[in-house]
Amino acid sequence: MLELIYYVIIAVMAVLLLVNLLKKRDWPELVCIAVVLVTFALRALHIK
Amino acid sequence: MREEYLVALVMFAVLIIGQIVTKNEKKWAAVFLLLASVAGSLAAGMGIRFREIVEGPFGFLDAALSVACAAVFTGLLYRTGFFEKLLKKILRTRSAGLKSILLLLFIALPGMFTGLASLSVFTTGKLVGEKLKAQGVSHGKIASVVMAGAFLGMMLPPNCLPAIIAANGAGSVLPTPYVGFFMPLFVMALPSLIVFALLNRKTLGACGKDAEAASPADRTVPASFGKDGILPLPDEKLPLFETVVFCLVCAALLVEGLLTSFVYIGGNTLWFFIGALLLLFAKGSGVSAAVDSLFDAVIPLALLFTLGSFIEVSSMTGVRGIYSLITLPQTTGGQTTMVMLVLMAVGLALSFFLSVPIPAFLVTYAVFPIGWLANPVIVTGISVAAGLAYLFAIRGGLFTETARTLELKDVRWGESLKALWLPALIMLAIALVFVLYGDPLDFLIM
Repeated sequence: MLELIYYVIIAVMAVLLLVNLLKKRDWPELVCIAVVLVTFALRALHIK
Repeated sequence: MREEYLVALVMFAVLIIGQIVTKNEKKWAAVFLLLASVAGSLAAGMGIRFREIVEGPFGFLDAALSVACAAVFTGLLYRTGFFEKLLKKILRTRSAGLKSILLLLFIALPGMFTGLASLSVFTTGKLVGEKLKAQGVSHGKIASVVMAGAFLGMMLPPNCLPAIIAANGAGSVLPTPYVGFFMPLFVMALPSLIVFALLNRKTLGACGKDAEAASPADRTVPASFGKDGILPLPDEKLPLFETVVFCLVCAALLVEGLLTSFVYIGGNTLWFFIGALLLLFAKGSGVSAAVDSLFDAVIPLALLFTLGSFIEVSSMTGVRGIYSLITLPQTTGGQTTMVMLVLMAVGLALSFFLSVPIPAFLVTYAVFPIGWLANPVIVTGISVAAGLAYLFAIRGGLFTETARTLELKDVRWGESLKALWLPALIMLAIALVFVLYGDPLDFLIM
């Protein structure tokens, strides 16, 4: 159960980051979002 | 010269050149940490090693998830107006000393939740800064008050980014959980908070007494109210729903922090997430507010993750191996402590001009010799170097962030830091005691 909640939390955060990535921003900021998003998304997809 | 030295040289050169060119601009730090990691693996003749570059951040992932959830929770509290109303309540406190402590804790609150000083500056620091500005307090003084609150918030539990970074040094290959830091962080940061609040009680105690300048229409009680003839702010009730959610999360965090060894109620991440989910139903909140709130934490989180890549590549290319070769034969008694203290001192010295990335890297390397059995009390002590690095940086640190966010003009780094030396030195002194006598102090780990 807790494992499922963990993946839900990380998936929600990844989606929020994805929305942030789609907004107009400076490219260093986009790199920063991408770095965090890639890590969160890989974990949400259970990939390491 | 051994190849590993050359690799280390290339990695640091890319990072330092990047920091100089971008004037330590925070949003570029993560980009150059990433580039330095790629340059390191290329210099070692290993090509671009995606695996290590992506795997490095995983050491910080669980702690970062808690920070991300806390950022959304804190951002929603700010955007729904809860912090503003809470500030009005605090400003009604009569005792100058108590008001001063409460105001500093108020500025610190978002930093405590997220472990990020910048979140305090963006939210509560901005609110208090505007009040002080309206009263005509000097910009240098405003900067030092907001910087103090934000810095202390970052160092206070439950989340503390410098301690999260240092804890990773204890794990390296196997990610070390950020657990058991609540009391050591609390004991280390609280004295500085009290000292700064009491030393600045005149400024903070007078905060909010700007009603004289307010229009008569704003006055709800006679102007003669109050000893000094100054009109207090009109009373405004805290919104029930947000207050209940805020108190629920705070209670859960306290139970988690103080009774970690005895009680498990899901962890900080879960409680911040539940709090954020509930706040989505509050007035003025919404998914868009949550998206913006998370963005406030993205740059520090990216810096944390790229630091993970930098550390991982340094391990992969043998830089850490050379470091271990030099330090491990001397890991007896005081010599390990000496390695830690030297790396803390070098990190602090570099922080003035190079901001956070290199000091943060040195802090993780300071923890490496004590390995995965590292005592959280010692790790907490070492982490202070990374925290102070952010405070002391002339460019790209807390000063730049505060001056920019609060639009403070003609404010100097030296002037703003003048009031902060004593609290910083007190914290550093406690940190040194933690590093030197961490083992007998292990009762602080709960």
